[in-house]
Amino acid sequence: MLKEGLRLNFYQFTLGCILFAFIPYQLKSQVADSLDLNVIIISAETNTGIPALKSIELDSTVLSLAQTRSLGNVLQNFSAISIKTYGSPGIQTPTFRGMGASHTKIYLNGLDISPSSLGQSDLSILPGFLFDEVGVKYGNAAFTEGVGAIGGGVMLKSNAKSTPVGTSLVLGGSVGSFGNQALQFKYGFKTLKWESVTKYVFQNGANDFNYRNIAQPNSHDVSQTNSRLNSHGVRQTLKHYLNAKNTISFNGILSFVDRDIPGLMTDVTPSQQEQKDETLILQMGWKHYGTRSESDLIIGYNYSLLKYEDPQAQINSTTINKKFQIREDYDYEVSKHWALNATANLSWATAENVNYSGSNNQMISSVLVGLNGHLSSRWEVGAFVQPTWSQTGTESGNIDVLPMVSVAFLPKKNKTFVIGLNAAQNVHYPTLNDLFWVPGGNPDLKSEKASNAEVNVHLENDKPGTWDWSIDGSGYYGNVENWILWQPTDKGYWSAQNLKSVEHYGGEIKAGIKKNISKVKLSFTTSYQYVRSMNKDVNDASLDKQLIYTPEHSANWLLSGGYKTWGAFVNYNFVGRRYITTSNSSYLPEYDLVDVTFTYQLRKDKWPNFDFQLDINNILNKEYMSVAWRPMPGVNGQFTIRYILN
Amino acid sequence: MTRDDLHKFFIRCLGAILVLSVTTSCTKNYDDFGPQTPGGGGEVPQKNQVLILNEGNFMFGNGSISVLNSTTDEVAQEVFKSKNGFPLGDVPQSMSIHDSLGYIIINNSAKIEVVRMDDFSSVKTITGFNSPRYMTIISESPLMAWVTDLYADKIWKVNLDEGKIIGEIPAPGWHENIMKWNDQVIALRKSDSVIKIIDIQDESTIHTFDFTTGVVDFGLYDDNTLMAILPEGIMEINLQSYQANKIASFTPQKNPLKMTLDMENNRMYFIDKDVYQYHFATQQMHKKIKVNVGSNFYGLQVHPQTSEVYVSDAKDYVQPGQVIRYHSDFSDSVVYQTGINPQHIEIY
Repeated sequence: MLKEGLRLNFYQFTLGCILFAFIPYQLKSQVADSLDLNVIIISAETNTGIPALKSIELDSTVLSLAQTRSLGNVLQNFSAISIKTYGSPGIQTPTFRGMGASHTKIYLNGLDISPSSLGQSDLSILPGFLFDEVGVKYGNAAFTEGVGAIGGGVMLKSNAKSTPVGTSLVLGGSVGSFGNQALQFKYGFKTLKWESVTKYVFQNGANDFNYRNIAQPNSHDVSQTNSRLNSHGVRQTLKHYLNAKNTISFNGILSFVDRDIPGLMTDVTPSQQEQKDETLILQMGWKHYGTRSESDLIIGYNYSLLKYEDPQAQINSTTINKKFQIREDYDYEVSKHWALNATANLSWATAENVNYSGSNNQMISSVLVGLNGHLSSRWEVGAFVQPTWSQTGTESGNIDVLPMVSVAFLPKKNKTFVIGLNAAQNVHYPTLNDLFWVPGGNPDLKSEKASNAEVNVHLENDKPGTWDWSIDGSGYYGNVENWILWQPTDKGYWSAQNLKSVEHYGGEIKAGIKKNISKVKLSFTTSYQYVRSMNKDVNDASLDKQLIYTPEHSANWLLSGGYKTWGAFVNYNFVGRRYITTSNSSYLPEYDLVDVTFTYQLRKDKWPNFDFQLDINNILNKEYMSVAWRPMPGVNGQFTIRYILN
Repeated sequence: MTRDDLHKFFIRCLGAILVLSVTTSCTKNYDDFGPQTPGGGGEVPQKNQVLILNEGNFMFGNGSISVLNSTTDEVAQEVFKSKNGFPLGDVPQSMSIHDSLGYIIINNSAKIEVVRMDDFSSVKTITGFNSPRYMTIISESPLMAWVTDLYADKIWKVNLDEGKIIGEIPAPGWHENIMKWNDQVIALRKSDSVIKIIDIQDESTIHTFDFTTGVVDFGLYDDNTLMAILPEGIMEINLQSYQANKIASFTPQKNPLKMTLDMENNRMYFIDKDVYQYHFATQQMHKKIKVNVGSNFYGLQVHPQTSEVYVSDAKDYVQPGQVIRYHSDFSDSVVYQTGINPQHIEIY
């Protein structure tokens, strides 16, 4: 099957030849000293500045492996977020700590980029290559980003890294199974005053993999049809260092995704569904460093177009989302041990669709103000309040005042051992579809109100010269009232209603260990998530049952080894049973996947720098479904060459 | 325990995770990696069958059939998948039975599954539809049926003997219920609330009844009378004279979901959240079953011999539902478990 999947057609071969032909051998290359290619690393460091809150950043090794993957695949394989994948190529939505897809917000440089019509992002159309950093904020940690991220937040950054003065170029090409091919281009330069990064990524594939169709008589093997994918993504980042205290920046992302949507395995008629996504993100930022303060202002505009066609169902739907946002972060050092944090957010969103009626816009604003600091060398505390105001359509606004408190105990007086407690209230506003879709939108919907408390523990080895290890553990408990669900009505159509409450609790544990033995670098990182997310305030068999498509158990690990410029990586990913009925009477069985990657970095004085990467995904050829009756590919591979000039 | 001991213990734990997951990963693979429903199957009752067509959820592919014996109260779930080894499909909408075969119209799988009624084994699958809804048999030799469709703008002509579509009748709009009556066919064009009378021979529309508010459902009351339910009331339609009279007015308007006729007792039942009974002779309407919190009545049928009333409850639409069998005077009831979204009830 692998052999079949790795077939090279003429076009792919030609693409490879062109790639080689255009490599500028005459340029003198410098030897890169690491694998780093604007990539994502997992680390246990908190990036909130508040040790009681939990967040991680993905970088380095992991993202260097994942440059050709979607953001959804990166998060599924290397984070605690569970991803629902509606086939290949299909949309990908997150489930974090048992919450719904719209409860995990996707932030780019601090601004929420989720379309306001659905309130959730399709993670399959965000290529990992376009971003410099990917982080995850767990639960209440996302409270500091604004409101609505009840489950947590995915923090994308495209202007994070300050590179050395000079020029860099990355040119990569990949060919893989099922007619997949990809191109990546990055050009960056930095002077004392200016910094620019340009990125382009292209991906194309037929995704016509074979699978065993157990939904048809005799479970015969078939090839997936109507599964073409064609995507382009461009990013431009520009920074201007006005002086030592002021930097202004521009970020622009433009992406086009054109794909066919394959049918269910139960279908006997081939699907003709097609979806086009266009996204434009423009952001302007101004960062100012004062003597005792830091200010970060960002203004953004998001435009997205989603066009879905199904000729068989006579559906031709176009939704356009527009969103203007302003965010200001201000930190002031009150004293050596105390800091004042303030974050103001204002967003105005509107959407257009023939199924909307009335004044379909939504304004949300919030101001987070808090004090964070040391009570003693072992104790840190923080107290925050976030008044929030929202207005939809022509309705008068709603005001919520949301508190958060955090306490951290540092037994060793440093961050190698931290025990943190925090609690917060949050609110999630109905989406524009929930409010205005005709039929079924409900302008009288209440916002979802969440309360959440958690305990986080971080421990790492602080003894030099021994094994470098760390452990992170978390436990959380929360509930959400006024949970919004779409249900059939006696009027003959589905309607959004505040139907129930949801209680969720669980825990996460993550451990990592690294060791250099002679010239061999070894590391092993593993994590496990336990999630209980249950229906409450219902009068049927779904009471106290797990929410659908929310795995109770999930885990992953990454084993990596490096010798000189050779690397080998094994990534294991386990997704537990997912119920597909609210009473938990039916389920999708658990599955586990193993991906293997081999890398080689060509670093010779007289040669240009090349990276070679061979990915073999689902090497054990497991049959599985992420979403019921949506087939997923078996063993498949991809070969990538990158030319690197620094 | 020293720090080194702790390190060793930690490393061993990580090693155990590695070995354990590699072992399970290499050994465990599901032959049936699709959706699992424990407790499915069971002996299919052979007598006094009441068939429940469970729609499942749109795009979940979890439609199913439950069969219950109204005398012994035995119930068998997922009888199609249990017998045939593959699922019924996505959103079974309706079913027709002719002789020993059942024809299950599966809307979002765009097919008709033909099954043997004694054991629900699959005989053949008729494909080529767009979004089929209902069928009616129009001739015995050859065995022919007409099938309505949600999106196709046509009524399909199907040769059931050969198991294939042999033609189509242009019919713009969403066509729903269809019923043979003498040499004609009565069809509901739901998109604009029109009941059409079509001549079978030349396939032309003989007459149309246009209604201002949406026709929800209809049924044949006697040889020449059709009863239709609308949000504004109950219409009596004379199929000979083409006269339509409103025999009951709903004030305020209702949102009826489904209706069925109890010919033995000259009554109609319909669902409008609760279950109502309308008596044609007395022209009285009564709420007979009040829906409980957490329940959503979804399907309705009256047993032609016993006049027992079968009402299905879809619960929250994402879990297995129930069918409740009421005595004809509502003095007693029995509850049966079903699949998800029990909608069509067929008494065989």
